[in-house]
Amino acid sequence: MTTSRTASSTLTGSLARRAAVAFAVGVMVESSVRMNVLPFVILLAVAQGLTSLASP
Amino acid sequence: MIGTLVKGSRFERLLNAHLHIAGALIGAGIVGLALSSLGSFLPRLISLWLLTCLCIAYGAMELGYLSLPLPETGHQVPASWRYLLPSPVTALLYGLVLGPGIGTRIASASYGALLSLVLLYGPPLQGMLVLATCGLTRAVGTVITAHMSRRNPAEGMALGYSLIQVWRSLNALLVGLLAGCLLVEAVIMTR
Repeated sequence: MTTSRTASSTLTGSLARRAAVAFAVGVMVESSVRMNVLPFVILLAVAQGLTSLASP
Repeated sequence: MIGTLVKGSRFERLLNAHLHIAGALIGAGIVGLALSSLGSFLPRLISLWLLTCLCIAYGAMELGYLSLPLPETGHQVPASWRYLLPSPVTALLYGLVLGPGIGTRIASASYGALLSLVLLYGPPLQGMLVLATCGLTRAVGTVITAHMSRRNPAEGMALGYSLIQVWRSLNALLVGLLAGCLLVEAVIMTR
């Protein structure tokens, strides 16, 4: 039971990570094609917000 | 700070979480608007070249190649507020102070690049949107971490620290790509 729950949680984590990477790559390609850096900047703002969680 | 978000009844916790998020959104939005308004006086071409240099410099700092000043104090939010003020007021004030990210300690050098972008790139409303996004992510992340690690706050901090390398790599990549885009834009505009 615990093993299957751990496996399910690992799979969900892995899928979430892949979805996040795919989204980030999509934003980067879109920004580069359109020559508009705002989506990049928004993505950086989100990454910065998450990075700050590691601040004591 | 996390202690304020997880104490009291369910209603109180929910109220504190919402007030903390609202405070962060408002604080970050105000600082973003003020910074962008300041930077909008510079000519576009000068802003672009300056911004390109700053993005390259802070990207290099993120990778550990050089050291530059960051607008941080190194202090934590005042713990005394927790004992002197009602918890909803404390949650709101902590949100207001922590939302813009410049009142305490900055976890990543790329934040310098983000602040430079807010200051020098685009109209004031765009700067407000960018910094408010950062404040909102930070506050929502804090609330989720606080509630996930309600019984053991150290667990939440450990989770944040364990992911720092992932975020740093993503930040360095994004700042590098941004510097490239800005350089192309600056060269096109100069010609």
